[in-house]
Amino acid sequence: MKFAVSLMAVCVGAAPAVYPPSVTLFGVGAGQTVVVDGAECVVTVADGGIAEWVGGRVVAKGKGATWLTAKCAAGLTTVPVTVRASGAALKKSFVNDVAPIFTMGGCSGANCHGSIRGQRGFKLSLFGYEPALDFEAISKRIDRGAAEKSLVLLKATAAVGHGGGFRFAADSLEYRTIAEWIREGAPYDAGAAPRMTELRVYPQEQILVGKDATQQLVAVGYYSDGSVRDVTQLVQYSSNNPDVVQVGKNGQARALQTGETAVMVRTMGKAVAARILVAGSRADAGYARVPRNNFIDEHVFAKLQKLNIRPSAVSGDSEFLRRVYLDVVGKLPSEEEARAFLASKEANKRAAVVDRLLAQPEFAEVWALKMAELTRAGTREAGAKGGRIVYEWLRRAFAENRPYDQLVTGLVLSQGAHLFGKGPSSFYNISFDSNAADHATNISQIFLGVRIECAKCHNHPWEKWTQDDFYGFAAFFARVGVKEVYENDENATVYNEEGVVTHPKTKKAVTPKYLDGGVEADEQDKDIREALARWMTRADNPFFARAFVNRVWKQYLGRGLVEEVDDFRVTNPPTNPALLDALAADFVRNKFDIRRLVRTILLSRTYQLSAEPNETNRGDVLNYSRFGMRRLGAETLTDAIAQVTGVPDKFAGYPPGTRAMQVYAGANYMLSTFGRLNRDIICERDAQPDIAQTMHLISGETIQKKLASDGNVISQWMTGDVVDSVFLRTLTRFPTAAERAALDAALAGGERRAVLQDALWAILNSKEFLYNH
Amino acid sequence: MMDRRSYLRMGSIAALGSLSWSDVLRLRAAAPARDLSIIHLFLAGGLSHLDTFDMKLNGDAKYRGPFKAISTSVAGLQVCEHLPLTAKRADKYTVIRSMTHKQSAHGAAQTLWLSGHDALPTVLAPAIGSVVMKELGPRNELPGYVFVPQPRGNNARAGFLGPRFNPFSAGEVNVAKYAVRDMDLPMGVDWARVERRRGLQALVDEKIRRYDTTDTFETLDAYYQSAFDLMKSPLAKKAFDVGQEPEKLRERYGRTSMGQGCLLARRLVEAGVRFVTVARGDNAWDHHGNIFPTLANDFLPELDKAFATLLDDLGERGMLDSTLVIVSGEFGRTAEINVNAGRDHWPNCYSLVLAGGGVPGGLVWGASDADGMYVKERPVEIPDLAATIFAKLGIDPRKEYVSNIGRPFRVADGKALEFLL
Amino acid sequence: MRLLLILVFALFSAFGAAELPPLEPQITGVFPRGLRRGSAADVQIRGRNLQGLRGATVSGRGVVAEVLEASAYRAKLRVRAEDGAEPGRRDLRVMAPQGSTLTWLDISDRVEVFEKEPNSDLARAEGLALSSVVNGRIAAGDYDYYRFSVTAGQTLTFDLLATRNGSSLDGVMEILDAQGRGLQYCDDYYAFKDPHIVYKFAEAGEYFLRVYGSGETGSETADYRLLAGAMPHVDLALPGGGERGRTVEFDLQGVNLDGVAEVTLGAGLARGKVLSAGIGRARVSMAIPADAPLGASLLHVGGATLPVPFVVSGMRELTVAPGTARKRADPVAVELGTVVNGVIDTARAADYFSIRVDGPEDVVLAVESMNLGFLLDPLVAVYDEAGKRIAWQDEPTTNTGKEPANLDPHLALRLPKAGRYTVAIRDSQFRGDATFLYRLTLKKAEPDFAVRIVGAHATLYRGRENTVNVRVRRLEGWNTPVEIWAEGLPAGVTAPRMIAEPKNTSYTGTCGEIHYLDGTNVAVPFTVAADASLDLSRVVFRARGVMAGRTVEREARARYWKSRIRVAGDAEEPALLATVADLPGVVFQTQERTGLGKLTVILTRLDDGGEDLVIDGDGVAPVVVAAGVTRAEVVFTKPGEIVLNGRVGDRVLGRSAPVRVEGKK
Repeated sequence: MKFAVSLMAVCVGAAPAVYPPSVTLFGVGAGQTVVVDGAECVVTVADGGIAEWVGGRVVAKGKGATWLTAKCAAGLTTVPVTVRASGAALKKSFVNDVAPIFTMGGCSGANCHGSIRGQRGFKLSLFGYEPALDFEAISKRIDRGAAEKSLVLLKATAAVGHGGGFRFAADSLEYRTIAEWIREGAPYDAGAAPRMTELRVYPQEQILVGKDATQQLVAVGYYSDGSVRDVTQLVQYSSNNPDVVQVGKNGQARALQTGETAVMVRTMGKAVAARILVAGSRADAGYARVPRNNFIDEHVFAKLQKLNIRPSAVSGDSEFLRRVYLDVVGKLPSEEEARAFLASKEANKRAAVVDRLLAQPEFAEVWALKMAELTRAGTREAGAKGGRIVYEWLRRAFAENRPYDQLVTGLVLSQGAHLFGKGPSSFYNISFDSNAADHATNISQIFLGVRIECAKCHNHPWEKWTQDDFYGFAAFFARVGVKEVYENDENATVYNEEGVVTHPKTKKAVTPKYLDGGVEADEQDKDIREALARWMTRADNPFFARAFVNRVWKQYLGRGLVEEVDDFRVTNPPTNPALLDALAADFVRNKFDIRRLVRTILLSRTYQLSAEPNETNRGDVLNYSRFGMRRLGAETLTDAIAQVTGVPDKFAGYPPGTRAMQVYAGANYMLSTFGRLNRDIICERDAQPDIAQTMHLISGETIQKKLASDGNVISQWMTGDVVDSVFLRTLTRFPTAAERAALDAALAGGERRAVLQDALWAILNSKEFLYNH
Repeated sequence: MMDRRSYLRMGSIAALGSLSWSDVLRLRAAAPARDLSIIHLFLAGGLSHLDTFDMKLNGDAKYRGPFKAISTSVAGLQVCEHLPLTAKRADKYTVIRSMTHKQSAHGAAQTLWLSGHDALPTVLAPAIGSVVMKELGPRNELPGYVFVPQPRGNNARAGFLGPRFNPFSAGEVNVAKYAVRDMDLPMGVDWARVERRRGLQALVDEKIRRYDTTDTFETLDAYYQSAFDLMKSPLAKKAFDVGQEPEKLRERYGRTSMGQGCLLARRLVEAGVRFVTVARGDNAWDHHGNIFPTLANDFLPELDKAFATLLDDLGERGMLDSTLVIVSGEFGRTAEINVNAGRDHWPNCYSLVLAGGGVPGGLVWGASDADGMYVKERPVEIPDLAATIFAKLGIDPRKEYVSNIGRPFRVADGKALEFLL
Repeated sequence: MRLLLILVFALFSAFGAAELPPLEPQITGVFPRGLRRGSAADVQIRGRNLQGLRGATVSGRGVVAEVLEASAYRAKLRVRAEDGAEPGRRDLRVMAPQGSTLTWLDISDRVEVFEKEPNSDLARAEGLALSSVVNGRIAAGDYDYYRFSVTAGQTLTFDLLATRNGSSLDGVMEILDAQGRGLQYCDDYYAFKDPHIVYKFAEAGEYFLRVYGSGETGSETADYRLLAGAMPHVDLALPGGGERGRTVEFDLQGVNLDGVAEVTLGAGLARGKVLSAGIGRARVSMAIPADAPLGASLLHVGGATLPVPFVVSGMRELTVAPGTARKRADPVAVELGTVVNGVIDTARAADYFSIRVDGPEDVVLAVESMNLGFLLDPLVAVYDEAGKRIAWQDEPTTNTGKEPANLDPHLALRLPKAGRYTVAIRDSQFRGDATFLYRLTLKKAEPDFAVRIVGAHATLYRGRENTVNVRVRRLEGWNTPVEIWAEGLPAGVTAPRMIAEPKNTSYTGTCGEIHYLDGTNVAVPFTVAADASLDLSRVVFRARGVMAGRTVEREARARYWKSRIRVAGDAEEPALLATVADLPGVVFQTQERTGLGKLTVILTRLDDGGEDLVIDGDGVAPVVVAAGVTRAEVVFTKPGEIVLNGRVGDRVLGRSAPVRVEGKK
């Protein structure tokens, strides 16, 4: 097996990078793949008696310590090499050598032998996380007398008919490993075999320049007995975005087009990811330094420089004003506000607008509605009444700028009658039979950004979450229940005197366990959720702050640093880890002050960039090199149409004058068609358009009635030059010359009211109106 | 063709059962190829199988409802006295009396029924109609998947496939002047005026169009074009205009939600729509109280007239062979009659009816025990039924999508049922 | 095991026969639903089967009602209240040949005004008459706006009396600033859907109050009585009661109490002396007469919005100030035979008391809180000296909507051996609030039982089987059968003596699980002779039981519970209003109003139903309805009040309520 030393190095003038940073070998003959990123490199090992460099690998010769030197054109790097416990050649272990082959080969995938029903009677555990089951299945399909006649080998080499087809050749390492294991008596070393405790991949992040650039990945396994092994050949590689980077079975990643993605590395129920970025061209020295407003810009522009992408220019005043109004208060600026801002010469007029808008009650309404949707307020028996109590509680919290940790603690500890209580107790009454498992799922996804519900039925395929983790976390809610209090539809969330969660497999009661391992004892007369709330809101909780800052970042920048905003997992790494950590640290340092976090984001240059692309950032959608355009939310669009036409909506069940953003539960046709969720399950809104939305904009009553209504804005435009007003009121900008000419011509030639109706229809259906840009 | 009576008496045919996809291909090659359409009469709320298609007249007296059974055009098959028209057409449909699943709540059961998958907390499974749209696309400018009146909750939607494959909502048909929402131009706006408006819209879009690098705006323009095509299309106007049907036929269908819904379904399928679901209200069939007078006076006459007339109408127009009609609730109802003289939810064993699309007529498949509570022979699961529907449409049930969180998702978890192909 | 997997709770109808449409009078609306004492008012009644109303009575003293007119769907009563009548809710009973029913009136001691429509938006807001009762109605989608002005720092109380009074209005109140922006809202403050707001206005100026139905619900019969103003409002009295024959001092807790001058118990049973009075608290001393009736009564605080619950007890009373009994290691020692008054004012808090017994002892820990109208959901637990919990109770039985809810524990247990035991009381949901008052009785068990007639009125049909349910609730460990019998039966009516076994009645819920009622239901069969006199009589039920040699005899109270409009309680008169009547051969269900032309009528045959029935009426062509058919279509050709007759041959089996047929508009 030949390994080409990867020659494409990116960093100019720096010493070559060598992976892994240190090598430890166990037993004579053990080898470790080593990758050197550098041009014209010569690799030598200091003491040939201890280890030698053979075909891209360091192979152990004898006990002792030495070092490896990689001398390249640009410089020299040394890596320590130690060899331990030399002795009898290792026997093949089922757990560490044979089982991973079935994972790497894709045999134990969900659509083949790893599926719940297995395939043609041959059932393997999903991604090999239960070696005992796999041994039982495999040992029935081997021929201890003549290894080469074993059914598993005949099938894998397609010597006999195999639904899964050819997997590896007879001369491959996989074939030899299995055959050797069979000849050594096919032992099952479950108890004795050291278990892999950690899997690492190198490099963790790499930038490849240009199409077809390659990067050899190295995977190293760390085992329970302290030993370390090169598992580069034993792991399964898969790229999250095969259009950007493809990775072969041997771990070599190849760039196809500019962009970036994570490459997942999986074996034995462990999974890690390497982040591969593909830049258009080598970072040129002349990269102009871009001014930075705060630490957010430092991190965003640092990465852009690495990718050789220049951020767009800062947005113009009208773009910025419309954008910040829609984002912060869900309303358009009035014509007067637009004229005043565009005319103002004040230096810090943008910061002044941001501060003024953050203090408005509408800011609290935007966030209260978002959190009410996430906590699915207003569903089940509590209905709209319960929904209103949760919504008003949230609105008051955001209006007072209550710290986020106190807000979440209030929700987690909420209980009492859903309709008479003062607190948001119907938070726990989300699904009809909501039980401990549902609460664990909801709270981990909403507040910790961790989706452990996959682990409810089986161990998470790529994540470290096991069923024990899931039921350990669910045990915190064992005693949370719902009780009928007064009449049949007036329930209360109760903390019962007794209650346990039983593990489906062990059938034994589960002790509550935090997601990062700690255990909490459940006692009588104690509400264990207090301990859970304290753990969640601790400054060093690894999930809490990061999950929320990611959600806030997506609210204003359109795309989370981790995308699917509540799907934090090792194999879905953030696009800018340093920025995420900095935002979370700043948030915690400032005692979870929400308004301060939002202000920091809004005042960053990154947020204020124009949406107009330049030649270097046309292809970038992940790194905020320009403002990401996104459709207006259902509520914002509905209110904007009402505001522009001057005809308010009336929502059934809500007092007159209620805006769509204040409708805390339920939806009319417009809101549900444009993406408002019915809150059956927690999920992000889908921002894609569809036919029903389009037809509603073209001929639906929401716009048509408002255009036809006598008391609408057109009645103020029946005389004088109104062209500027039409555009300022709708798009917060003055009309272009072509627009002014077209509208003036139409007004001259047609009946004024009809022409203005057509103009409003055209603008309300224009992309500039439907999108925040 | 084996005569029906022996087919019925013979009951179990040993070799049959669920098949692998290669078997299905072999069988389909034998069967005549047909560009199939599907009409699903979805009795949301749960149809009481014990009072309709699986009556247990000699079961335990305390479970028996007041309805008598009447014989049908197929010997040995009896149905409820309040389904007289359906009884006369027993030779045109198959009754499966051994349906079974484990979801007893409306939401979970309807998700299983409309998507073919058990509800997962992590992923919104796409409805069968949505998968059909993704695989086969619409036949013409008409939407390919229509829900009459409109879907409830997340069940009949496209889930992670994205809103493009959501069903088109037809709205309630049984109203004085039925028209599809937003389909007609508003008063005082003709197409010439629409063109003027589109001119100004294009002008305003000019500047921002340059900002889009991920063809988001192209997709939006495509939607505007297909919306205008639909609104202008004479075919669509005709298909949705149930007013053009003769008064006599509308009366035969019955002036009810299901009746007029089935009439519209036939017209839509005739005009090229692939998949139509017809339902009534919000879990209207969920009779926890006072079930017998409600069924006798309202629900069964409505279903009887709608289903029987649909079979005749499709037959007369030569469409029955190319249109699969499914009549089902999301589960059956309990044998035990509760304190409010109603029956409650019961997924363990219930019945459904299939007609057209090459499904054998006059067949009774599977059987329930003496009280109609548990399956006695040949249970049929919904994933298998879903696989059958996909197989009949020429879609490989083992085809796999990757959901939005990367979880692999097979189109159908079950295997096609040979006796229905 | 056949597991019935039903997760939707069925709608339970009241106990009576499920399929028979009600024939006794039904009341859906009363307006105005009350009057000032010392005045008279003409009260409009809306409902069904009101034709032939024979009389009306108002419970308590000092209020009389007289039927002025009555037709099928409407009636008018003249109600007169004397000056000394006690304010508060009264039972209003109306009697008709087909049966009687019960609704409620509120006697106030304030000026009474009426809402003036149109007041449905900010511009047309109506001036709010402060410190008086505003009688109004909310139709579906209707909004009532009131305008008022306040001085800086003033605290106003707003209370909407609707469902607690029997109205069908599920009301909402909102305080809006001058621009109409919401400052504070309340939908369900009390356990039964009525809103209540206490608001301190920082700035002087004009404000608005918006009253509407929750989710824009409402109807012409959804009435409310709005009370608003800077008058005093008392949340609770601590202690919440006193031993009769003693002078007791208690704190009134609430708002605007600085002006409180006189406090009276019940209908002038005792007068309190105000020792001190501040904004939020007033201390009162009151001598409770030795012969005062035991049980819950009301304190009337001069000028305050609402009366305050106050219990007259025959036992030693102890009061613990909030927060002074919170140490589990150092509980407050209490002798058995004491009522402890306390408030759970902080979340997650519990009050701890210790009792000492010299040997095994049957004791009772009973709490009064929810049943006095407080929102505490009490839970009691008992620990032995080692700190091990030996017993706890949240509710006597689960609440399932089939019964009026009861959250107050009644824990009877045997303390196994001599020693000191700790009793803890807390909110079962770990909440805390300044209004969570409790009265915890700790006493030796004296087995006893309480008897209730389920429903305050019954119609007994001649020649048919009638049953009246009587509930025996065993208290403090009573465990022997109880004999029940009826007295005061009219001629021709007999009912056997029945035995209530000491086992709670159970029923199966829709999910197949077993629920237990809080007591034993006994269905007393009443046989009525065919020639019994068609009259109204007051039937009293008595019960007797013997346990451990002690004989206890109790008289049953009539308990009413209308789940739809959520009002429950004991009727003032301890008797069942029984009306002997004849069951018509056929019963019609029609609409109150219709136009000329077709109308579908639902009919229920109550005779043997053998022959066909003919339906006719003035201007209605006869329609023949075959046996067993439950629907018929009649055609009205003449406008006016038309009565439909159901005949077999020339015998009229039954008549419909008059249908108002309006000419084609």
